[in-house]
Parts: sequence; C-alpha cells; structure tokens
Amino acid sequence: MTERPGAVPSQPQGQGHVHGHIQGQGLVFAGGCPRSGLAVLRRLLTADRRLYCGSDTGIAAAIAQQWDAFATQLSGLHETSFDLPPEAVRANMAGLIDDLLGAPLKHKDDVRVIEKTPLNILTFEPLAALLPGARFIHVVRDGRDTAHSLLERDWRDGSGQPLAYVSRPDMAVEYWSQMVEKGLKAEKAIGRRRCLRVRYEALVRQPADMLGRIQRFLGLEPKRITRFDHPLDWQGLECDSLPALNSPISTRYLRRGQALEPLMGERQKTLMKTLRTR
Amino acid sequence: MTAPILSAPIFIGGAPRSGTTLLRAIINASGHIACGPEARIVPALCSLASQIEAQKLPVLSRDYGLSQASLQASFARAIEGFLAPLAKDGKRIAEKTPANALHFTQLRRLFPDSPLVTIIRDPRDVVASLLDMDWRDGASGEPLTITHDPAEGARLWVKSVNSALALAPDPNLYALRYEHLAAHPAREISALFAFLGIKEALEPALAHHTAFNAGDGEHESSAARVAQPIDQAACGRWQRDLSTSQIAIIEDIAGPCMRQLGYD
Repeated sequence: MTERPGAVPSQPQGQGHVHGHIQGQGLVFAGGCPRSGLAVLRRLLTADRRLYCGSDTGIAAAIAQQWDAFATQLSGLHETSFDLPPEAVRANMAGLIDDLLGAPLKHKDDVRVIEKTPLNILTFEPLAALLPGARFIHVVRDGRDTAHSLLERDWRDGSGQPLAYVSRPDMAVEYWSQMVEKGLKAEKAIGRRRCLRVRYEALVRQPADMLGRIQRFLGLEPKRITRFDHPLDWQGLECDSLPALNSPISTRYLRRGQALEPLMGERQKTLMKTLRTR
Repeated sequence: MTAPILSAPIFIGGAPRSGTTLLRAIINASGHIACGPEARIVPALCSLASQIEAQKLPVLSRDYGLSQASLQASFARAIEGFLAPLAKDGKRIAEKTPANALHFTQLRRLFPDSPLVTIIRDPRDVVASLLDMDWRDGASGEPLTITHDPAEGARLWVKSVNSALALAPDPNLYALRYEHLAAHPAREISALFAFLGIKEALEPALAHHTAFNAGDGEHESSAARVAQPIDQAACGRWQRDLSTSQIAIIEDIAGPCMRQLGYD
C-alpha cells in the first residue's frame, strides 16, 4: 500500500479515537542523537507560523515510559481489579500528552505542535503506539561531525565527572552509532507515512526546500519561506549552540569532524551509507 | 466535620504496614464507597506532575500555552480516568495506595475538594512488620531496603507521616491512629464515617472481614490479616520482635515525630 504523506493515519475504529479525535493528531515528536541539529530544526520550523516548536520538555518520553511501566508491571491488576483494559490505560496516558502539549491545536486545523527533545528518539516506538495520530521526525547528521560537536561539550554526570561520550572520541562515535541504530529501528517500526528522516546537511544547505518537505509530510499546504532569522528564546541545552543559533542557518558547521574519520569502522560506515539513502 | 463535596474521590495513604488495607476493607464494607486494591497509579502520576511543574512549566507555558491550572487539570483528568470504572451503583470512589501519603500536597492541588485520609501507626510496629515482608524490586528482584534495614523503614515512616500531616490544618484531611482503631473500632469508624459523610454503615463496617476478598489485591500483604476481625494483637509487637539496637535506630530517626504524636 502506498503511503501518502499527510494522509490521516488509518486506525481500527475505536482504538486511539476519543470523541472522534485521533489521539496525538497534530502532535509531532522530533528526536535524534544530541548535537544532530534539533535546535536548528526548531529555528527552521518556527519560521512557519503554523508550526509550534518550543524548547525541550522531555515530557512525552517521561509519560511514555510511565505508560510502559503500567503496561508491563500492573496490567493484570488494573484489568482484574479496576476494569481497566490495556486500551483504557493507553487512552488515559495518551490523553495526558494531548492535554499538556496540544493547547495550540485547539482552535485551528492547520497547526502542528512539534516537541523536539533529542532523546525522544529512544521512545519513538512507544510514543507511536501510545498516540496513533502523532508523527515523527528523525534528525540525523554525519557521525564524524556529530561526534566532533559532542566532544566540544562540557556535559557531566551527577557526580561531576565528564560524560564519556563528550570526553572520549571513541565513545562519542559509539554513542552516535547507538543512537542512530535506535532511530533507524524506530523508523522501520513506525513506517514512512508517520516518520520522516531529516538530514542536517540537507537542512542547512536547502532550508527552504526542507521546510517545504516537512510541511507536506505534516499535511500542510506548502508555503515557501526563505527567511529564518526571527528572534527566539533558547533554553537548557539549546544554549550550548549559542550564538550560532541566533545567526542565519548556514553550512559552516559541516565537515568539522573529518579528523575523526579513523574512528569510523565498518559499522559506522554502513550507518552513514544508510543515512544517505532513502 | 463532613467532606464538602461527596463526588470528589477520596485518597487514602500512609506509611506501608500502617493499616491502609484495613481502612480499605472498612470503607468498602460501608457499601457507599468503592475502594480498589493498590492501583499505584496515583503516586506515579502525582510524582510526574510535580516534576513537570517544578522543571518544565516555564517552557510549557511560554512555548505550548499551558498554564499551571491547565497542567493540574490535565493530571486530575488522567487520574479520574483511571478511577472512573470503579464508580458503579452510585458509589463514591476511593483510592488506597500507601505512597499516596507522600503526595498529599500535590493531590490537594489536583483535587481541592477531595478528602485525604491517612492512618498512622507506631513506627516501631511499622518497622517490625516491614522486616517480615518479602518485598522485592520489580526490575532487579532484589529485596527492598525497607524490608531489611530498620533505618530505611523509619525514614520512610517519617517521610510519609510528615508529608501527610504537612497539609494540617486542612479541614478535609483526616488522620486516624491504628492503635485507636484497634482499641475502639466502633468509635473510630463512626468518626471516620462522619467525616466522609457516610451514614448508617457502622454494623457492616465492623463486620468488614466477612466481606473482604483477601485474593483481590496482589500487592496487599495484609490481605489475609484484614480478613480477620479487628484486634490489638499487632499493637506493641515491636517489644518482642525488635532488638534493642533496632529500637534505638528507629527512635533516633523518628524520635521528634514520635514525641509529637505521643509515641513515647
């Protein structure tokens, strides 16, 4: 069956529907390995007034994980003692995400809300099951450049020690590999109709074209936008990318990780090849 | 003193091994309230609500148009959604999970009209009972620390009691003592029912053990005990079951709170 971008997801009648609304419809979750360009994606998307993309909240992943805990640990109790079948538990948790993120969707049909916490990528699959109407954007970037950018961070764990993947080049490359593998697995599980892969390189080289592609993927009327210099407030880890984020989108951060080429083994080369082809 | 709005769900909590399951059996026996076994949903969602409120509300408000009131209403709706199937035959809903007590402050924000009921028991008896439990971590399979470390059990008791009583003098908070309930069940149940607006249900409540389904709650270790009539057999068990050093550890941690509550 051919999947038409923007088509309303088909679901068995009843499942995922609450009062005629497909849960998650209008919501989009973006994710990818940290330092892959999620903040640049926010700059791009917010140039279109129909797209609400804020700073990272992490709440969708937290709710999806809680749903998973309910489903795996307590489903028997909930079903037998509370008349709560798994679908009712899912609908309640999905309704919570709809409620918390969906306020901008209430009054207009041609609006989408994008939550772009990078680690959403780890919960794309449960989120897709939880919210049948939601869509997903997997942001990917050259492994060498991503690892190079990770190694410029000063991220530390709870005890104050630098995280291995921002202090050791081999671990940075490994981290990128694992995150990309998880993302590719999620892409396959969710399907192309609901999950779009966005390459950082394409995003910074042809931002207007990329925005048009995203508009179509989200079922919006294409609207050509070429200026991406609107003011934005940045929060949390986004601020790591300042002041670059407040400059026009550019290609100057491409090919900065070439020195890490020797660390790219067969596994990484296969991943890079996979990311270039779709 | 009577709960003002009879439709608001009732939340019951307290330190584990304090008598919350007994309370559930008594309330169910009234015939006016439906209280299921520990669903464990309420503490999880309250914890999530508190984390989001503390850490993410500014971003959610600025970028997603979510107000604090809307956030609270969303979580209240989610909790009500989970409890709603219990509401049958016109019965009011109650939810009993011991850890609810740790979230009474958040529950009060989410449910301004809900009665919150806690039961308090001598921490030495609580710890003695905890040490008998074979509770394990769901993921690792390891025994929970509170089942083998009296200090951890005492700390949880202090946290549970302080969290519940932090709401005082909230007129819709009701605290009863396990020891009083065991010694004077008719008097204590009558007072509790008066608070909850339950009438003419004392007799069935006193006979709660005849209607209690001990197989209902897989997480309720007291189910078999609650299926017996109320007695004082478990009051003061710490004097025979705990060592001198264990008692010292508990009193060192819980001492100020114990003295405040009259557990000398």
